[in-house]
Amino acid sequence: MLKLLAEIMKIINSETDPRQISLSVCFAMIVGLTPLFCLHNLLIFFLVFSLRVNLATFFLAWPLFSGVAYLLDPLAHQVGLAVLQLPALNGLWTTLYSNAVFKLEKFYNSIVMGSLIFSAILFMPCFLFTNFMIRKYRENILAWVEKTRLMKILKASRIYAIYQTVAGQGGAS
Amino acid sequence: MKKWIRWWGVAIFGLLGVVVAVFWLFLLDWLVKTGIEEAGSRAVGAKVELADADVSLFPVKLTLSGLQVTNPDSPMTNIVEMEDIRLSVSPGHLLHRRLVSDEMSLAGVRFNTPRKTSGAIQKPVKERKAKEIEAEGKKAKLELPRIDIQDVGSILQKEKLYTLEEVALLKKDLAAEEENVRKMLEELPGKETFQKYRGRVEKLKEGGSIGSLLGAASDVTNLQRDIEKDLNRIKEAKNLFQEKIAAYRDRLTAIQKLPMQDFERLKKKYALTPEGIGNMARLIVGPAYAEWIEKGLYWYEKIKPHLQGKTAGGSEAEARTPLRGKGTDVIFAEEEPVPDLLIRKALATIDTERGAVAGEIVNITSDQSVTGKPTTFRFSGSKLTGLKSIQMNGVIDQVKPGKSIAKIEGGVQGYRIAEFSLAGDTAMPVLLKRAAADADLKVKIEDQRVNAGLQATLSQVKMEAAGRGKQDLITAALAEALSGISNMRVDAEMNGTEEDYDVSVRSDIDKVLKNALTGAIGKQASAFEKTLKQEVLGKTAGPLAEAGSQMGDLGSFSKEFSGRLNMGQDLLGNLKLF
Repeated sequence: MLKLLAEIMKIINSETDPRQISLSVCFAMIVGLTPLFCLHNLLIFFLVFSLRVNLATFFLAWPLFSGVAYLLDPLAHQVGLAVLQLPALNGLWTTLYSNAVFKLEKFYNSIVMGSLIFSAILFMPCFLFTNFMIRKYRENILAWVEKTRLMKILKASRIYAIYQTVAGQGGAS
Repeated sequence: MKKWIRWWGVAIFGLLGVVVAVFWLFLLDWLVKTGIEEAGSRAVGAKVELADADVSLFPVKLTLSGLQVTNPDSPMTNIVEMEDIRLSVSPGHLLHRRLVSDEMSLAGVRFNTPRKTSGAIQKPVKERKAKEIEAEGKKAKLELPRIDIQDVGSILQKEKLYTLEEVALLKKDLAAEEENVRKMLEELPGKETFQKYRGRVEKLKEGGSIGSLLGAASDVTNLQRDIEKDLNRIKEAKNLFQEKIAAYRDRLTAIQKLPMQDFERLKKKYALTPEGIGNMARLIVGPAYAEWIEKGLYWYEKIKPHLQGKTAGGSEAEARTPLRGKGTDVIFAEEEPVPDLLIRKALATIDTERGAVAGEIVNITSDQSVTGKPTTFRFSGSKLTGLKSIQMNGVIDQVKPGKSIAKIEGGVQGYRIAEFSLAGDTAMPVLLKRAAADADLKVKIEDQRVNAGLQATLSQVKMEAAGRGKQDLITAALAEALSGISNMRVDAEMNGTEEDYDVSVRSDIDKVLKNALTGAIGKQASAFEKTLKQEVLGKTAGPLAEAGSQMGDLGSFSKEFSGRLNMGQDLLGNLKLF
């Protein structure tokens, strides 16, 4: 846990572009919230590997969002089922259901649909919010935190030693 | 752009993809083989084995070789064995775990082949017992009337003869009665008593004075009274004895009639039962015909569930509830609905003992309601060994959910039959040594109702009754009647439900066989009756004679009573002289 916290601190404090971090958080959110073995997750993994998003952030955030998914599943099921049974969308779903690629996507499953809707809705807000928070942290909080009494205590603690170890190893971006 | 693309990441992703694909390709054949064996074994309830499976990807083709499907009711036999199966597979549908093929070829199809090892998958004992009982029940339906005759000796060994029981009782009673009579005679006045009376008479005769004469008159009266008293006792005893003797005689007379009653009873029980002889064709052809249809129904029942499918395939979205935490799959109507298994056309070559029969099966599917088309098949063969031609067409229609119709029509021409057992398990086995048959078969199974009709014309027929000794009159008559038949026509029909049906068979040989067997059964029956009568009478004659002799011995006691009465009467006569 301490190592994880140190990793996060290191990434946030690094020179990495905040958008790279934010995007990796958003990708992790999609993979974490939706069932893993769906076609869209193959695309996400491809994007994670091929775009210069922060890989460490992705692999750290993914399990966190997977944990959240367990709590969110009942709600995702209800939302997904409601959307799939919406008469107005029946034509669309019927067309997609006949398509091999979309069928592999398993969009007709209530949790896949519900969690995908959540992920899609939260994608941009999550990106903007994470981006904003990292910038704000770096601009205002980081310098202030450095000067605080708590930080001085922390620097003397084991967490800081771990942080330095991690920071010394360098991170993938 | 360059700033955002991580080329080494793309390369890693691509490399991973290649590794997975290569790994999958190497394992694909094994995965297909294992998948078919496991799914097949689950569906059949016995081992389904494949020698090899080969999947080619461009285009997608599946080649299976050495398929063996074990008969679940006979694990050392394969229901079907196929040497080679080739099918082209639609890759798009395969992605959805659906096997869709436009054409399949089946070569080297053989039925009921022996296995080297058992193909059983352990079944619950209860289920197996239920099946056995069910099979026994069905067999019992075509039980023939009993026309076999039993050995008289063995009948008399196991059956009681009431004559012997009654004779034994009578003899016991006669012995007891003899003992009683002896005791009675000992207590009654006998020779000694009458000698004493005679002595007293002589004494009275010797006295000559008047005084003595007056005294003698009184003695004579006393003596006369004593003798008469004793005579009365003897008379009463004699009357009682004669009444008993008369009762025993009546009893013996009644017992003497019992042997015939025993004979009639046993004759009724063991005499031949010629009921059913009027429809001999049913007795001869019926069991084999019923067995064929039963086998057909058995396999139809096995196949039926695999064609019914699991989905209704309706236009409305349908929600299914899977396992907890897995969400709910909402099923939508597809623009071109496809079932999990669809083989549009299968070309098959079946290897039989007579040669190869080729044909096609159209629309093999796991869910006919999705395709909206029934499964049809058409097979034919000609110029086979001992068979001019054979055709078999059929349709299995389960398009409407909950309704099933199967129709099969077929025919054989110039079918050479040799050494074929008819009514093999029955009391009257008949062997069809040889014949040439032309036959048409029509079977319709609608829901649970079966209607099957067979019209057959047999020529160059040679039949014989089997399984009995030459001396058997029925076999002889049957053999004689059968030997005279060179042509026959049989119309057989089977109606009813799959569990409860009737078989009716009409044939032009009915009249010939009926006449022959009725006469033979009559002769056999009279021979049996004669022997039975002789044996029963012979077995009872000795004990009856012994009882009669015992009866005579007892009757001889009557003389003893008469003798004693005569002695008393003589003495009374002498006393009257005074």
